[in-house]
Amino acid sequence: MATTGDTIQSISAYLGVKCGKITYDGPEKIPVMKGKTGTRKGFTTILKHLARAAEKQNLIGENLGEKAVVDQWLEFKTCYIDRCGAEKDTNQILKELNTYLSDKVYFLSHRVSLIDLALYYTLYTTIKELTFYDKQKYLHLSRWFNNMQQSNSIRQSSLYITFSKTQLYSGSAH
Amino acid sequence: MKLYTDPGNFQTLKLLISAEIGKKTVDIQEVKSEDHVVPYLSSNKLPVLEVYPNKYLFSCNAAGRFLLSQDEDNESAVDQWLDWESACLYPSVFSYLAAYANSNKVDNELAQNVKTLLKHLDNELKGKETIVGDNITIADVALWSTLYPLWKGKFVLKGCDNDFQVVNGWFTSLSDHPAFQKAVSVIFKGDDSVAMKTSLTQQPAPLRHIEDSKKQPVQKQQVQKQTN
Repeated sequence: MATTGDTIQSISAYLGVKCGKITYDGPEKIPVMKGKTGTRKGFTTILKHLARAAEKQNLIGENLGEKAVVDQWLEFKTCYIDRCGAEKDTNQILKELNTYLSDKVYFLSHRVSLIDLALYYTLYTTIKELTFYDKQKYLHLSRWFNNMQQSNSIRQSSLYITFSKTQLYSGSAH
Repeated sequence: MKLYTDPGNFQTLKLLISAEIGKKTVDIQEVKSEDHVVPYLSSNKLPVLEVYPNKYLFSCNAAGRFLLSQDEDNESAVDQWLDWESACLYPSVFSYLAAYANSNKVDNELAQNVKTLLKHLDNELKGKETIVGDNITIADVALWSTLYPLWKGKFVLKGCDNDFQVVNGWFTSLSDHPAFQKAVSVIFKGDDSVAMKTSLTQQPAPLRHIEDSKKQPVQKQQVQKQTN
């Protein structure tokens, strides 16, 4: 799994704003960003600040309902995804995200938000290591990830991850 | 909107206070502490707000902010306090409370973790009536709700009011607010420590930072071992 600092750096590059070096504070390793307008602490705080600085408010959500969904999944990343130790827990998360995405193109339904960016970079290595069997098992998550990596500004210098277009396994996967 | 909660769940205070101040009507659906509400999550974490059929908010802070529906003067400062509350304060307070509810005694190390965080809050609240700006925001509501069981009821952290006088002043002044009083009366129905104990022992413990949790095991099984 990508470190929080790397994820913030990638999103900052996508947004075209500078974020400088990310340090970590306290036993909980809260990310800290020192900038011209002061110090900001916390993953959600930093990402939303960067999106505002880039004048891309729509990534934070355009109304209270969308904002709540963005806040909720960014919190989920810090308090749940980052804190899962065992492989079993990671599989649980992939399964949850897969189910959530079963009727959506992106996390905010039909357009990219900070959630998609944050989870794309956080899960890149995890998805890369999945077998074709697992990619098929997490069908909706794979479709979402594949959608995301079609954008060069999102994928940046990372390698393209291959997903099979044909169904490789039948029966037991469903 | 439907609000699913088990009885005695202190995190539900966040939603009820916010709904009251934000003048939103929520229909409270009482469920058991072990019930699963959100279909795509494996966790039984409560409360959950169903904004409209099949659209769920499972984060109390996000749901509270939604219900409060405020124009915030300094959104980034509110974000930062909610980040701290969810990543540091709540996991620490829950661990202390759950260990207390399971074993009927205070775990000194867990109590100390909470006190370290209260010290930070005490410094940050100096000279202020509310944590961000001049009005009550979701940051106050979230912090106050999580601290409530340390100040009131069966599982209080003794000496808090004296050791952290700034926090105590802020906590007490918010406690007089009718929305806060009403939320407490709905969730705790008098002094219902039995319901609170059930909720604390049945609800999933928030995860701790991995390095931290190795030194400080807080998973349910381990907590129960101490009881035996």
